[in-house]
Amino acid sequence: MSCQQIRQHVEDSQDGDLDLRSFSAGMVAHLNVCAECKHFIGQRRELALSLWRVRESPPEVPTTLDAAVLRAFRKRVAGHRREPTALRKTTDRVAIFSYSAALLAVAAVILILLLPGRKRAQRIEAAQAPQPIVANQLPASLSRSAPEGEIKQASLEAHKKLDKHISRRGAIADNHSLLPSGFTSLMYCDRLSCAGDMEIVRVQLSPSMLGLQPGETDAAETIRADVLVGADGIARGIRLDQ
Amino acid sequence: MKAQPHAVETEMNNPDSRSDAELLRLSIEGDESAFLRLYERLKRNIFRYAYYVTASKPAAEEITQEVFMALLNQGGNYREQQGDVAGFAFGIAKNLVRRIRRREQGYECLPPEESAIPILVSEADSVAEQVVRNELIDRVQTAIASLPLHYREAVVVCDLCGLSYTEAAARLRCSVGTIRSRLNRGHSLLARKLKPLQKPRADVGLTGTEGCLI
Repeated sequence: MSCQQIRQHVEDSQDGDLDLRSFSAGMVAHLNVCAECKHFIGQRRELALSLWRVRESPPEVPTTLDAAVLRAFRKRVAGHRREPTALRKTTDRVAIFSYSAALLAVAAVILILLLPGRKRAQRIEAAQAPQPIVANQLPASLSRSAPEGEIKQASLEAHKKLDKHISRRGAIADNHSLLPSGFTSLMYCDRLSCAGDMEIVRVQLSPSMLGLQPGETDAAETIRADVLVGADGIARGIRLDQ
Repeated sequence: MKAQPHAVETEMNNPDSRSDAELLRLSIEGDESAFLRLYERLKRNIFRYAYYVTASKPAAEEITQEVFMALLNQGGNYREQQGDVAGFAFGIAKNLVRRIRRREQGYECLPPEESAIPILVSEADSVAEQVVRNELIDRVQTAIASLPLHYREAVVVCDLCGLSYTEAAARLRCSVGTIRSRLNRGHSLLARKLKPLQKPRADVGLTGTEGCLI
């Protein structure tokens, strides 16, 4: 019998099974000669006794705790019973908020659709701008020249001035290749804004409308031009008729 | 012979005859008598465990109350196949103990007040014996409280709450071998801490340690 076996026996026994009667004869014989093991056994027995004393004097659950737990339980139950009403109130609030939000959204959409800022601005511009004389509306990519007899030559200076004026307005247009040949761009053109079918509208303008001085050209004469108009009604380019 | 429906109904409604799981279900539904019955069944062990592990009566009260509230709130997650309700409640208590421990880690404990030391008076003992016993209990409790948590839990569960190794293993979610090992280590530490209490024995001759390490 070894010390290790004695210790193993003590460790394996639960609840301080340290009664010498449970020890085998070999263990008892070892304990008689080994002070260390005897001390170990004695120490463990005293510890077991101390723990037993603590276990036999358990702390009492305070009555205040009982009351607190019961109070908490009743509060919870009461809260659960009230919950449906509270839930209903919350649902009502959510519904009111949702309806209001939906109404506002619909109103905003209607406002955007009916009164778009761009179209309104265009309408104002159109109202303020001089009304062009629309001669003809031609199919896309086709231009029709006016009869020779109706066309009067404008002065070269007037043409030059007009070209300069138009080129100033169309300075931002960097992509003339998108327009038919001979047209000067009146706005920024790219594949999105200048794509699709367009119409050519022939107009007659008085020189004063183009900012030409009375002396620079004959006031009685009118200047003919072809205006390239997109499907949205906005002019993309202009070409002065010779 | 005719069955007695009234007697059967009474037995069914009697909370004492119901299992913990059924009491828990009824408690969640708001049955106060079922809740009180369940509370009566579980409160002592939970309070005792919390008290010995935290070494603080207010903390033990807080934990016990929280455990029962958590049982009501999280009781729906309980599955009978995973163990008994006591084990479920013990798991909640264990988590709460750790949470409180983390919360109070930054604080230093004040020495216990005189009134906090339990005075156990028994008619069988003399006053001197009672004082010695109370002092011993206090010292043991202090020693237990100073153990590392996993050793402390094993000592409390096995030695003070009286659970078997198997039950303790189930409660602490570890193997029986681990429980045994932690308990042994905890006992060694406790014996060392309580050494001054133990008197040297004159009747044991010193033979030297080398003789024991055979």
